[in-house]
Amino acid sequence: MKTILVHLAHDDDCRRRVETATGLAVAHGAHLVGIYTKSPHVTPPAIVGRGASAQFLREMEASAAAQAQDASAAFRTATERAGITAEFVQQPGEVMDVLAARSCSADLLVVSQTPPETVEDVLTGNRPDQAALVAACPTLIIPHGTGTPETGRRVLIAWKRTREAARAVRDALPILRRAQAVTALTVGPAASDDGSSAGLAAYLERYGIRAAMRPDYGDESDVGAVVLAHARDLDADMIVMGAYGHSRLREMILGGATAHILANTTVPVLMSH
Amino acid sequence: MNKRTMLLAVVAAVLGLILPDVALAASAGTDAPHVDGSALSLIWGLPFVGILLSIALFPLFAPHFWEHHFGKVSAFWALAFLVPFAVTFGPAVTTYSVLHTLLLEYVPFIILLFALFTVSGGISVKGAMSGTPVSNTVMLGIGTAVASWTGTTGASMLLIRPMLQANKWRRHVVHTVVFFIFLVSNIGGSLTPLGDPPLFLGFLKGVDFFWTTTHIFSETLVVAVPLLALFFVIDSFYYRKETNTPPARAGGIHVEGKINILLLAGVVGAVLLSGVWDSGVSFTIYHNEIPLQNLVRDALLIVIAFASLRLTPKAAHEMNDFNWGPMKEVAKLFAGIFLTIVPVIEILRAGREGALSGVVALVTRPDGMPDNAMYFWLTGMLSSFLDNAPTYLVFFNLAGGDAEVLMHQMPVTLAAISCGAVFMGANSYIGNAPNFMVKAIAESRGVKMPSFFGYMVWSVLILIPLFLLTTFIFFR
Repeated sequence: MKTILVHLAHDDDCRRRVETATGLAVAHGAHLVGIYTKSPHVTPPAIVGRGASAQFLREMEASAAAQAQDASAAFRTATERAGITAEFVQQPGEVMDVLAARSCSADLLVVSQTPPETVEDVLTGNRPDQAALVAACPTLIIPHGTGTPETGRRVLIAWKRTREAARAVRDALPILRRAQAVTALTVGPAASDDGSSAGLAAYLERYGIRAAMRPDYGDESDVGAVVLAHARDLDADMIVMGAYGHSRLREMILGGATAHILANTTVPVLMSH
Repeated sequence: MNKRTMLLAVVAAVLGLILPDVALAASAGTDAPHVDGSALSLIWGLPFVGILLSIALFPLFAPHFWEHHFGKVSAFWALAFLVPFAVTFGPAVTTYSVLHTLLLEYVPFIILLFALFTVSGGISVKGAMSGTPVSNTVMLGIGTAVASWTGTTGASMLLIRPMLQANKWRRHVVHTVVFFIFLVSNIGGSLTPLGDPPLFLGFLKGVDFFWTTTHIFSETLVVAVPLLALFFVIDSFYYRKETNTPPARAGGIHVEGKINILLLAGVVGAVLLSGVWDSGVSFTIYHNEIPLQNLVRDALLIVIAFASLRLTPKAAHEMNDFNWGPMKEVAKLFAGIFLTIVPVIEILRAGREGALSGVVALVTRPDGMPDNAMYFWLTGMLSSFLDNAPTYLVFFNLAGGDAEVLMHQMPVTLAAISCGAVFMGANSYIGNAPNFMVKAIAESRGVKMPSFFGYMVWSVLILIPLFLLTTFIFFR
C-alpha cells in the first residue's frame, strides 16, 4: 500500500480521520494525500436567486481561504509529526466526484461515517461515507464520534462468495498481513455452506495470513446486525466487507446489510464495490 | 459576449422597441387588451404558488438540485403560466401582460438591485470596535439606520464582519448575530424604497418615496427601540459572565471605497428623481405606458453602477465572471416570479368578483372596512417563509392596488402591508435573503448558529410579542 487518500473537511471527525490515515501510512510506509474539496465559490442554496451581494462573496471567499489554510496547517502538523510524506490537495467540486476521481490513483481512501443533513443527501447518496460505491480503490469508513484511531489489528471479514466480498479481501491484503488476528465470518444456515469459507482460508493461508473461520448459522435476514454483534464480541477494530451486493435503488428500498452497517458501526469498515 | 456588452444590447433592444412607437401618451393604455380577473379560476395561481414553494423548500430539502437547476425550475413555472395563458387568451393579451410586468416591474427592479449590488459592494468597513455592550448596541443602531439607504442586504454585508471581529474574543456571540438579523437585515429596511425590495415594488406602483419614511417611522421605532434595549440587557448579562479578557486595544473603524458612498447618494437621488419629477412625456410599448422619468432613473442607475465599477479598482477587479453569478441568479428567479404573479394579481384586482373573494373577505371587516391587523399578520406570516417582494405585491393588490387610494384613503392598511412584509422577514432564516447570508458568514467565522427551528424560538419569543404590541398600537 503506497498511496492513501484522506478526506479533509471541517467536521468534528476530521482530526480522527487524519490520525487513522496517518497511522496506516506509517505502518505501510505509504504517502498520504489530504483531499480538501471545499470551494470558495459557492453560494449557499438558500440564497441562490434571492439575494445578490458582492460583499457576501468577498466575505465567503476570505473565510474559505482562511479555513483552507487552517485545514492545510492542521494536516501538515499531523503528518510532519508522524514523519511520513504527505501532500495537501485543494480541489474544488462536489466531494464525491473529487474523491472518485482521485481514488483512481490510490490504494485506500479514508472517510468518516456522515450523518446525513438533508433528505436529498439520503436520497442521492451524496455522502462521503458512501464513497465505496464510486471509488476505484477500497474505502475505509471511520465511525462518527467514537473509538480510537487504531485500526487493522483485529480484523473481521464479513465473508460471502460474491465478487464484492472477494475484492474487499484482496484489497485488504496489505492490512490483513499486518493484523494480529483475522476472523472470517459467514452468516447463514449450515446447509447453505458451499465450501467457500474453506476456499478463503486456503487463499489467505498462501499469503501467510492465518484466518479463524467463524460460521454463524443464524438467520440471514439480519446480516448487518449479526456482523456488528460479532465485531463487538471479537473486539474487532476493522470490518472488511463488500459494499452493496444489490443495485443501489433496491438497496435503498430494502435497507440491506451494507446500509445497516454503514449507519450503525462503531468499528472502522473497509469496503470495496 | 461579455456581460457589459450583453447589458448594453438589452438596453439597445429596449430602446429599439420603444423608438418606432414613440407617442406622447395622453390616453394610452385605456384600450389595453386586458384579461378579466373575475373570469380567472384559482388554477391560474398554481405556477405562482409553485415557484414560491420551490424557493422556500428546495434549498432546505434538495439543496444540490436547487443549486444546479433553480433556473430550470423558474423557467418551468414561468412556462406553466405562459403557455396555457397564451393558448387561452391569445397573443394580444399575453404580450400585453408579459410586457407590462417586465417593463414596469421586473426590469426596474433588477436594475435597482444591480446598482445596489455594485455600489454597496464597493464599500467595505475594516477594523473592529471593542465588543462591549455599549459599542455592540451602537453598531446595531447604526446598522438599523443605514439599512434603509443601502438596502438590508448591503447594510448586513457591510457590518457583519466588523461586528463579528469586535466580538471575536467573547464566548457568547449568537445573540448578537440573531439581533443583527432582526434589526439590520430586516426591520431597519423599512424607511425608504431602497431599504427592502417590497418597498421598491410599492414605489414602482406609485407609492411616494418618503411615504414609508413618514408613515411607518413610529412602527419601526416601536419595534426597533425595544429590540435594541433588550439586546443591551442580554449582551450586558453575557458580558458580566464573560471569562475571556478583551484584546488590549481595538483598532477603531475605517471605511474603504468612500467614493461609493457618494454614488449611493446618486442611487437615492435617481430613484427619488423618478418619484418627484413628472416629465409629462411617456413612451408606449404595446399599450404599456412608460414615463420618461422612469427611463431616466434606470439609465442613471446603470451609469452609476458602471461608474462604481470603474472608480473602485479593487471591486472591479473582483467582479470577474464568477462574481456576477448571484446577480444573474436573481434575474433568473425573479423573471419567474414576476411572470407567474400576473394572473394572481388579476384575480386579486377583481376583488369580491374574483376567485380569491374568500381572502378578500378575510381582510375585510363586517362594516366593509379593511381589517388592518389581518393585513399585517397575513403579509407577515407569508413573508416569514416566502419571498417578501411578491408577498407585498399580492397584498398591495388585495387592498385594491391603487397607490393613490392606499396612500391617502387607506394609509393604515398600506402601513400594515409594508410593516408585515419588511418586519416579519426576520421570523425565520428563509424569510429574507440577508438572514441566510449573515448566518453563513457567522458560521464560517466559527459561530455556532442555531438551527432553523432554534432560530425561530428566538423570533417567536422576542419578535412576535413586539409585533403583537405593534398591532395593538397601530393596526387595531
